[in-house]
Amino acid sequence: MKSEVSKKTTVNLAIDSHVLEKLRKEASSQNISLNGKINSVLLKHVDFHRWNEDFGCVIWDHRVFLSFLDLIDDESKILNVFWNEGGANVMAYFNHNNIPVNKENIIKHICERLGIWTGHYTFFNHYTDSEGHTCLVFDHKFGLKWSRILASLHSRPFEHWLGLKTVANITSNTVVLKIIERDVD
Amino acid sequence: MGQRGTEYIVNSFKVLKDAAVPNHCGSMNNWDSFSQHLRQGTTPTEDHYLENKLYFYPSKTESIVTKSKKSTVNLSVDTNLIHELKEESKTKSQGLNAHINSILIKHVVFFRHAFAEEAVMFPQEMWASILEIIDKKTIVDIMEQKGTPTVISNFSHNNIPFTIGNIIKYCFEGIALWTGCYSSFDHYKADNGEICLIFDHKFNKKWSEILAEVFSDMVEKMVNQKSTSVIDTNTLVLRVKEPQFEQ
Repeated sequence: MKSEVSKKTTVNLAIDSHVLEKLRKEASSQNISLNGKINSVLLKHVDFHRWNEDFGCVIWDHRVFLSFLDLIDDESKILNVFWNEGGANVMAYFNHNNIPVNKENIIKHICERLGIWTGHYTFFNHYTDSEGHTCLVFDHKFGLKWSRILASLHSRPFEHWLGLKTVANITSNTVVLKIIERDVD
Repeated sequence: MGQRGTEYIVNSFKVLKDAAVPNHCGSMNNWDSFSQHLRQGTTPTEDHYLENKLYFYPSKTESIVTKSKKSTVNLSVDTNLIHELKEESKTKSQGLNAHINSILIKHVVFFRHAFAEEAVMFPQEMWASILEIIDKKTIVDIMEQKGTPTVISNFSHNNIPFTIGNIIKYCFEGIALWTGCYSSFDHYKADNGEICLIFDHKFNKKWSEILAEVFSDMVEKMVNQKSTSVIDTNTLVLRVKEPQFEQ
């Protein structure tokens, strides 16, 4: 969905009472209003879940995922599957929603939202370093193998779509991806 | 067990089938107690049900899965968002209200727990690759040890009793379907009383075999019922035996 969404419409809905109660409790625990909670659930559906339903995704408990990840030696195979399938899906999402493919939108839509929502990492941050390079920081719980895959996977939109270079620093639970801007170098 | 008892079971299943979802949360012990009662040839009374918090009688206790009761709320929603949802609901031949309800139910029953458990999503193609690489027994072991407990936990969190009807409704038509394990599901009761569960997926025969083992194990763990399977490349038919209450 397009991101410029400031105008509001008031709707009157009949919602299952028990569902509403669960949502109310969830909103309260997150210190947000019920209205804000329902908005965020609906937004996530429109921006994310309905796409997964269309494209076909598999969802596993992270412990199951980690078990499978440990059993796969060929990292390049995982990377290529993620990129071939996931990259195409993301590009379709950008095109469908008329989102320009640029650095800011890749960070906003892929790193800040899709990556977190898919559970590929639990925390994301970005900043500009003293040399003017954009640095992306991803935290996860899946070990060094996953760090290597994440670093390669998230460098590709910048390298393949925008022609930018990236440099990665990884530990077992963190990836720092530095985007080398042409005009900075 | 006499005819009255048999009728009771049949009626119980009818209630299960027709009920909105029962409201009490119970444990395996309650089911064991119930089935033990029947195996001994005695007919449980309504009091027995209520004392043991069995599930065939709707109660006034609130549960997220009760269908009927609605609350009206006024929401201020982004205009673009409402427009998108309206368009989507048209493609599903649903009203906007029903569509929003289904999204919210899916969030409450599945996604919020998936996120809390830090679930991971990936393309189906990757799953197909994993299936080629890893042997069947390893996948079955991982799914039984780490996947099935997640389903049981989800039922408990949502106050959903362990019955075959609820496994069908909330697991096979809900949680498991939403994970992308298979693309469609159907079920019916065969002439011999077996409950037939049909799963269609896009992977291979190995996956049908894995699903058969994992789902049979899960049904047995949750409701103590055995099942047999018919396996094809893209389809699994799981036949869950009718409960045998007589000695």
